[in-house]
Amino acid sequence: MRVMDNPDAIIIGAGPAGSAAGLRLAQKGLNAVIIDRGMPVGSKNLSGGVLWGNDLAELLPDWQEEAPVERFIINKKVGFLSDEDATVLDMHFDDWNNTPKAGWSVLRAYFDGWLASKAQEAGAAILSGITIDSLIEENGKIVGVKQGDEELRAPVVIIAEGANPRLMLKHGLTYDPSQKRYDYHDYMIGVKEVFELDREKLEERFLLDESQGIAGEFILGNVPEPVKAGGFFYTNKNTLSLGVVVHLDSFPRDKEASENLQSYKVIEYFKQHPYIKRLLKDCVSIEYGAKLIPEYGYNKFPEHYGDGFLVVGDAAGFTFSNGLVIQGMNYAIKSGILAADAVIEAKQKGDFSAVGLKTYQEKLEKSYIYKDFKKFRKVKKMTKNKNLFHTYPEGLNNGFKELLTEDGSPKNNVLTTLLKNMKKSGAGLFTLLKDGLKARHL
Amino acid sequence: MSVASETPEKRITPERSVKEKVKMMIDGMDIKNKIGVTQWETDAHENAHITVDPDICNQCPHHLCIAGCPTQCFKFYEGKMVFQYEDCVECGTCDIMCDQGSVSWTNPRGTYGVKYSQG
Repeated sequence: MRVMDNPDAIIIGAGPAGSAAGLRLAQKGLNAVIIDRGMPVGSKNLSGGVLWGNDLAELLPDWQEEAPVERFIINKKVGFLSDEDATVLDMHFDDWNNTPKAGWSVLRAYFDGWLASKAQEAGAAILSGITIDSLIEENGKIVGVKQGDEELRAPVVIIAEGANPRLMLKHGLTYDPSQKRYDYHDYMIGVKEVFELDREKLEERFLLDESQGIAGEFILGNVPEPVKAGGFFYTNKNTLSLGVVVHLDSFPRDKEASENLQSYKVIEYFKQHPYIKRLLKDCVSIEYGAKLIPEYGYNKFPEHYGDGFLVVGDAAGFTFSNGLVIQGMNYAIKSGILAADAVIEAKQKGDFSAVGLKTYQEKLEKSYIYKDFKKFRKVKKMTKNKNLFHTYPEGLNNGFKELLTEDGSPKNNVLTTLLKNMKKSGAGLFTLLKDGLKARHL
Repeated sequence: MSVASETPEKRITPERSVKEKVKMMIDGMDIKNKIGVTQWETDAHENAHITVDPDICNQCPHHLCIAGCPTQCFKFYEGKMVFQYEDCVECGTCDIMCDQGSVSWTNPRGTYGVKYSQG
């Protein structure tokens, strides 16, 4: 592992968080070593995925022209699927055509490899294909990393190991230092396929001009109860990313249930829904994958800094979803930049203890990252609400169907019809009011 | 509305039968065929990055590993938990789902394991 004498910082993981940190440090003249277990970099990385926002412009002003991005999002769909029906809100925002774009669909094997190469060009060292076994702790301080018999030391280690942070677990750096595994109430699993589709066909099917794209997100009322899942699809250049996100705590603790419904079937329920199925015509699957999505929330964040270390990206719990918005990569990049800035200041002060690194925490709290998480700290009350998945999609779809199907019977007004169908699906007025109140957390 | 048209076949609502057809099709799907498009660099058996203690699994009340695993690495077969690490995509779900102490989870050795070309 001997690539650089006396690095200023070791970064574990070359995802967007780790590479952003490495790139910033290198741009400011510090020696950073980024270690990734994938060979090549990017081959372990997977997400939905849309990169929202323009945080990367802080590091690379022209990244939107240069990066291997797929399509910029111009159209957003949010839908409720019941067994066979769908009600979908279809949003077109014309100024999302303007530069900088609001969001880009990306494929991480390409995007992450590129971002790491930018860090390398700026002067960071990249070690790929190395799985770090452990951190080196001395007198309660993190002083480096270890793989086999080899050690690499630095004044500070930036932990960017992703959604399943094994080193943090091993060294008691999680929210609950005594825990030996993560709690499934705090995690979702994302399962995704990438489908190839002729570029012209794709643009015709989704009504897109060259390089425009769609982000679609759905509540899956057609997945058997009690499993709670959402679905998504994002258009890429000549592929379609399509998958599901499943709340792990919605699987029943029951052997027979485990034999009946598994996460890999949930994505099939999404694909087989008539609204989605027609979008998949002539699509050929070219990759299948999965990743965990931490859902710690503001109240269960791990410590984001300590003696000799900082935590960024997914490992820090910076992933957010409220059904309308799903974000992670933007927080990863932003937190990587803030961590790098804190390291630069710590170096100037010559203090890499928790006291010297505390500026990272202060920067986080001032940034939109903490503001988002604070504001939405109660969002789980709604995103884990069983009615959202197994009552409202059916009630909504049946209500609209009754309103819009002409069968000779006299019509009620819209509200009466929707309320009647909500009640039929199991949500009376009281439940609606209660959940309506919870929805303020969204 | 004539009484004669209400044959037993017609009383089965079409909704119900489509739903059942979809369930049957999905239950019959072989996930192992689907994951054939994904690439791996498989490490030798003695370096398996996950190990499972089937004796513990026998006592487990929920087998949530089976529900969670996206590539069907866990199968309860003839009264015994059978595990294979080769199709693992390293998500970590089984480790989170197993609160019985059967699953021991580490990342694969460097360069080994799943190799996404899209991601």
